[in-house]
Amino acid sequence: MTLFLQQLINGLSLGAIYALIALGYTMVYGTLQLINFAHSEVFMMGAFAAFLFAGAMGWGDGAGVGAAAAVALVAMGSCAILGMTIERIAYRPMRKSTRLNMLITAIGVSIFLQNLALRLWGTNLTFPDLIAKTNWEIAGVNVASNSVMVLGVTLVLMIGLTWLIEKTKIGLAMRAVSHSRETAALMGIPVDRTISFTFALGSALAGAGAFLFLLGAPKVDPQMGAMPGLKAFVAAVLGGIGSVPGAVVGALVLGLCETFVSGYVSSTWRDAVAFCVLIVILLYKPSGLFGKHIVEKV
Amino acid sequence: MSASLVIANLDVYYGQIHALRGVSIEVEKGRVTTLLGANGAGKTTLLRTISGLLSPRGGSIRLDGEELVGREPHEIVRRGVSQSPEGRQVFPGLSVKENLDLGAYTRSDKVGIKADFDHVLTLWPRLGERLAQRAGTLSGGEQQMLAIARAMMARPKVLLLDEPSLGLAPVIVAGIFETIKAINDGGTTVLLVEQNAHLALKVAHMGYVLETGAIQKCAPAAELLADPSIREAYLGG
Ligand SMILES: Nc1ncnc2c1ncn2[C@@H]1O[C@H](COP(=O)(O)OP(=O)(O)OP(=O)(O)O)[C@@H](O)[C@H]1O
Ligand SMILES: [Mg+2]
Repeated sequence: MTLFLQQLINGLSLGAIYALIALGYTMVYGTLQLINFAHSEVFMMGAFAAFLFAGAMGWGDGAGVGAAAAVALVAMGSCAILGMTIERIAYRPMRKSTRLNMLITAIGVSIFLQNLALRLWGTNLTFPDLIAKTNWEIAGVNVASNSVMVLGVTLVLMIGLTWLIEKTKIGLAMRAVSHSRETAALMGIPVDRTISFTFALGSALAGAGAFLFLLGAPKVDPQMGAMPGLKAFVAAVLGGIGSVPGAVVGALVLGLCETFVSGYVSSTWRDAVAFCVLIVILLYKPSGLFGKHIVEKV
Repeated sequence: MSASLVIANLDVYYGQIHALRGVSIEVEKGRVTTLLGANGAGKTTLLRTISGLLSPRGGSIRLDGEELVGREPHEIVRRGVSQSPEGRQVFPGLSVKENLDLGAYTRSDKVGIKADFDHVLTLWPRLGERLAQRAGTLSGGEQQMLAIARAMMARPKVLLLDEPSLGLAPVIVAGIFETIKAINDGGTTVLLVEQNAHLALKVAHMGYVLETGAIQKCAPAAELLADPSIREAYLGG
């Protein structure tokens, strides 16, 4: 039972990080029907932004919660700007082109960003423990402060995102644009600006994900986006790509599967889980758990 | 009577296809102007061009003297031209209320929006009963009402309607034409594209006939109703 609860917490906090990345995939897919393969690299760049900013400020181990919050915000902001820039420079000129061409563009951007980071900053850098780690013993279960932080921050971001999408004007515009760009334009919605905002939002969430990821795995590397990015992509497909709640549920399910398999079966199977899930979902329910079934009368 | 929307020598292409050939139309302020034409004549092409979804290769579209060609669709809505597009195009996954809110997207005058919201609900009480319902679950007639109501929420100077009668039962169509008349009586200028020539000419003041991308006729609606060639081609003899 204790082991189970332990794994549950680990699984949820892993899933939370996947969720933050998966949301960017799913929101961009929802608006442009593009699988933004460069999103993994936005995540990676978020980690570099956090690392570089902490370094520039001279913040090291135990710098404190305030410093950590500032670093997280810088990571989110940098990612937002990067995401908008990628959309503006690489994807917008391709928008009238075929989906395959856009996909190839995305892969190109991804390779470019990896090599840019490699060239500028190098590999395998160590991110400081900005907040001293502690472990709490609650009813025999060991709860790491990191996990609590990951879950808490993710929860706050999810609530904020839900509010934004459901209750604000820009959120309504985002939903309209994802239904139909043309009809949205006929409503007077500035479609380009809305798409730009969608990229900024998804990328900022990936930036938050990168910061939280570093709390548990403090290595910054140009390749670091690949695996979490791929897992988050699987999570988005599992949830039904294009669906916001789907991405969150898919990510939590995937995080839990991964930790339970590595806890109860073998940790060597850890990465295989995601790909088994992908294969199963593509075979049996390609539209995902929350795939769109819109009733439309003509 | 002054013209609100003046379209002059409009040329629109789809690749090599010359879809509109030197089209000129004047939509008079405060009136209903109708554009008739068979399938594929270019009616939708014209409305999409006015709304900025298509760029013409030549010609001009002026709203109260101001050029609209070259402007983004959202700027055109802001300047006072909104559209209920062909096939209604409501946002199926959004509620009726959200669809109406989107119609007012360019506006920020809360009081005015509320007044227009109340007004469209008096025109279409059925929408008021279904505000929380997803638009995709409405009947075809209700979706058409929603599409027009949504376009009205922009408080347009000129309202463009693309075949509002398409695929609807005669009773529903009659109701829709009554509201078009009511909207126009309220002061909104209307450009109505229709295949149902009889009803369109009854509600309109002026009529244009479009054939394979070119204007063939332009006359007061009453005259067109009596025109033997129009009767034969569009009114079933
Ligand atoms: N996207 C497009 N690409 C190429 N040709 C097009 C396109 N859209 C329309 N056309 C062509 O342009 C011409 C005019 O089409 P349009 O849709 O404007 O006609 P319409 O008068 O609205 O017809 P309907 O009454 O059937 O709605 C048609 O010949 C049509 O095939
Ligand atoms: Mg048409």
